[in-house]
Amino acid sequence: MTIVIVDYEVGNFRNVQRAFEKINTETIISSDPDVISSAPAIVLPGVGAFRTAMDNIERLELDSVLNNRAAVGTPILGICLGMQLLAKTSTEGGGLRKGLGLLPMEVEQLSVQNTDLRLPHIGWNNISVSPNSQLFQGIETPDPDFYFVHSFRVIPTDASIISAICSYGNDFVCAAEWGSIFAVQFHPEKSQQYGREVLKAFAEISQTSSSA
Amino acid sequence: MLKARVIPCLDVKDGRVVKGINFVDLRDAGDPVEQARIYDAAGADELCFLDITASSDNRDTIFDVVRRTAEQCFMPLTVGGGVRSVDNVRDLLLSGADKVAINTAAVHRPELVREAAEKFGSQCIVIAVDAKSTGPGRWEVFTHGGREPTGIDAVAWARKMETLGAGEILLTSMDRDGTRQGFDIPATQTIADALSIPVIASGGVGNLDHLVAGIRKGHASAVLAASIFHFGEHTIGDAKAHMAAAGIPVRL
Repeated sequence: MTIVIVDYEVGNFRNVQRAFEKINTETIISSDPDVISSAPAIVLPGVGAFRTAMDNIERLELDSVLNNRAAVGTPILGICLGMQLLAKTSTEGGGLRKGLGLLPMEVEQLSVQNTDLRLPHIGWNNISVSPNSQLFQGIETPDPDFYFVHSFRVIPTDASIISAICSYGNDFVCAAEWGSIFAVQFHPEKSQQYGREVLKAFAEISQTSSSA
Repeated sequence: MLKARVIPCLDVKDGRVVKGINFVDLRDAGDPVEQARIYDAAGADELCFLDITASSDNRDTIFDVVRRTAEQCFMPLTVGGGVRSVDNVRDLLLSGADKVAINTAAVHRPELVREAAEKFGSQCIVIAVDAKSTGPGRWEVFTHGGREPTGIDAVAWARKMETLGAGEILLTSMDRDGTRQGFDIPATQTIADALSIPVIASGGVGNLDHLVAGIRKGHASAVLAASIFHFGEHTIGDAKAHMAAAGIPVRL
């Protein structure tokens, strides 16, 4: 099984690939709709701006491909901006931009009003994991630290997708799971041992799914 | 809760560490990759590479160093020194840097900051501000590794960089750098309080209390140090334990 890391021309895909190499999981980086159409599992990484990313995804005609894969239950993991792209809409960059709409959630700026907190939210922050979460099953501590770099966050319209919460001024949802769709706001590829556990869990889910 | 970050910094010249760890068990003390691996294992929150290669002919070596380091390290990596253009930023990011620090080029052409932030996102654009005191409550921006005065007020400059899209400010005190007398706390606090983006305090760390002061009194989000870690006086773990004992949230 080879996981496909979607290259939509924004962000640093090699670092995600290296982290998978570290846990002996094969990946390829591709922006080819045909390759992604037959992927057993998909990672949507990303840093940068929502609008540019969605524009690229639509230009590369990957939106319908990703929708089709989601519909047939292919495991998909969105990381950071990749998590936000799975949402229905985002307010980043002004106005409302349509996302992939694969998870029932919307993207808005982190709320740090009436606090002395800074934006972007940069650095290591502990999260609080839901007991039933699949992505965090390899982590024993209930409040592991992960590396975050972001100014926007998702707001679920269906609370059942929440798999972890982080607190920065206010609580926000930093991980979501819904059927075969997974999303994390932090960077597992930069979060040392806990990050590796999250990627390992996704690789195992993908393996089980592709051999089913 | 967000943790205060402890960031060791390596000076790299022609692909080799010139000021780095002097541990006896290193197979090759000049290999940045090996030093990065040690800091990764020690629980450093990020790593900073400062490329001090004088000749522009040797720029390619830093890409190779970044690439090899990124193969080994699973913490964020900031690379600075000699970044002149959006293409330089892109090349460093593609090599595996998570953030790129810009100093001199931003002074020459501030629009570079906006262009780079729009293209790659603010989160990967760090503006390195080298500041020198010019009187009580006043600091001036220097470029070219602290050699060239610019006449620019450091506080106003940091604000402008934030407006143009910088994600973080790496503030180094030219008065304190290398003195081991501690951060320039008034400069750090004044600039941190003037901004809403995070500030990394740098320059002058000689003991672990200095790290505490940088966060507590300087209002920095992260502390950067070189020699106290490199010469084995203190480990990353010592630094974090000391900060935790002072009541600062750190990742242990």
